[in-house]
Amino acid sequence: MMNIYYIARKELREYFMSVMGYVFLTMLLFLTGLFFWLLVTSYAEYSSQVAGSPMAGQLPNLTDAVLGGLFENMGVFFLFVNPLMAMRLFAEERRNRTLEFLLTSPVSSGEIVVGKFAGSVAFFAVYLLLTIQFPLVLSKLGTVDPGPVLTAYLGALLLGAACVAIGMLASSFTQHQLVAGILAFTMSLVLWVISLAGSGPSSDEVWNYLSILEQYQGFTRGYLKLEGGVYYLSLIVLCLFAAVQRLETLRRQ
Amino acid sequence: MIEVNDLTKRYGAITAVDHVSFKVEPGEILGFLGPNGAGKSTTMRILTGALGANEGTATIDGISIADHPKAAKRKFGYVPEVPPLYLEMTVRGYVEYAAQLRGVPRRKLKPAVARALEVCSLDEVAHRLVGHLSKGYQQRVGLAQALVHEPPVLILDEPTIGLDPNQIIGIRQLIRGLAGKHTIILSTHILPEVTMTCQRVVIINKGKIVAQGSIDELSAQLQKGERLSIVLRRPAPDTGERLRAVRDVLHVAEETVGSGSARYLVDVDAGKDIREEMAKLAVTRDWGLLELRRESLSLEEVFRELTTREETGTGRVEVVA
Repeated sequence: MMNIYYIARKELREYFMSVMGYVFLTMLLFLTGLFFWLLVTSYAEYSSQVAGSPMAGQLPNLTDAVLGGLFENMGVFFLFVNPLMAMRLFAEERRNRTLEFLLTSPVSSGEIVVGKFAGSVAFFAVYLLLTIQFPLVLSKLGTVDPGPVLTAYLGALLLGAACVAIGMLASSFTQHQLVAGILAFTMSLVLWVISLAGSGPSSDEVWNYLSILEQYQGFTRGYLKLEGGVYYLSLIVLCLFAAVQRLETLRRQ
Repeated sequence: MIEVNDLTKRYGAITAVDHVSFKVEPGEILGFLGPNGAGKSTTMRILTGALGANEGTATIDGISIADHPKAAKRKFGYVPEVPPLYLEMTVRGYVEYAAQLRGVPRRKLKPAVARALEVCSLDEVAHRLVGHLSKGYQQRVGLAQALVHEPPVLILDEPTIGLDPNQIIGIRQLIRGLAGKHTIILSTHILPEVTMTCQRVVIINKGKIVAQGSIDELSAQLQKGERLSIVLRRPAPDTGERLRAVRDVLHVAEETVGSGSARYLVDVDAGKDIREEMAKLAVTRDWGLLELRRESLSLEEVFRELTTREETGTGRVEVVA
């Protein structure tokens, strides 16, 4: 257990020891802020229209319209950015020949994989913590329903962690970070558009269920769906298990 | 302390390590000597659990690395040929990380790290980033991470490769200073490195062990002399005896090579060339001389491929072919 903690802590620190972590945070927060601003201004415009004409109908609630929309967009960022966060995890160590340090230390492959995953997810969680400013700002402008905010954060954490797991698995297959990044991109993209397979005339619910973003939408709308949790956790476990197997193969070669 | 038995590693059709066996006694510094590509690094990597073997076992302090990797890995520190360095960590941070992963208890962490930094003379650079250090210092960092948990065994793969002469001298002094406290295996392709730092040598070539023993024993073996191989078509019953009677001959071994012919392996005193006498004897006795040649001892072959000289000043080592 302690080994997992030591490895995770080292991985988390690694993000902040180079410029990399700051670049990720700046980029992600800039994009999140941009979308927040767009959503708030369009909501304000819409609400002034509604107030002007009694015919325009019901105004959607602030939390759903702004924060729901924001988290949905953030989900798309995670698909692209989180694999980039994780692509160095093994590729860099293999290239710098430091993986041998871990492989010859009294640490199991499982501890290495889980530690690295936890470190990367912790970094992602730092980003999520910093986004709390947006619901806070919004609560100054109107009433924010805390329930959907919490489910949205839970969904974001699950989705983000799953994307990190995909990136880490891809990273264990190559010594080149870029190759790992492209591989992880492709995997997460396929998991996203897989719902299109069910959109034809012979529509099949299964494809929707398998889509990595479909599962996320329930969380952003304030639902806590068990199947969503099961989906992300099994995806994470699958990726971690495959990464452990990959590491064992590397040890044997 | 370390026991390697019949270790074999194959890569497809290539056998990188071929039934290698050796032992290292506690407190000993063992030189693992061989030309480039002999299988030294592969053996070390198997011994440290970075690589699996096809056959054979390796145990450290009685613990098998394949069966109980965690327990066995606590017993050694390892510096691979390319020292594993996290370039963006500070020296102290990295050595601390190594100590944690090797299971140094929290309350002993600080003194253990301080001791490792002191032994490797890294105090002054403890706060600098590993990536900003010179190669000599980086090699020391590699050593510091290997000995921070005070392992009984140190495994060093080519610890002086790529260093300049002053750095080489420093690292060798450091290694000699560690002797006694640790059992050390040191691999190298440089002959003087072994004679300067090691008590016992295992010589490996093309994946096989060709000799092992103390340095004196090996040089005696090497100087013992030459071997002649003589093939005769019609050897007489007393041929062996007559060959043995020739001056400077130490030992004669006989083997039949089909249809009455025989091969005689004649060991001769060092520096003596008795081929002419042998030829004369064979002709006068009418033994039907088919072949007469000098056989080089395999050890000598290996030594010829080793780097036997070190050039001071340029930092380059010269390969004497």
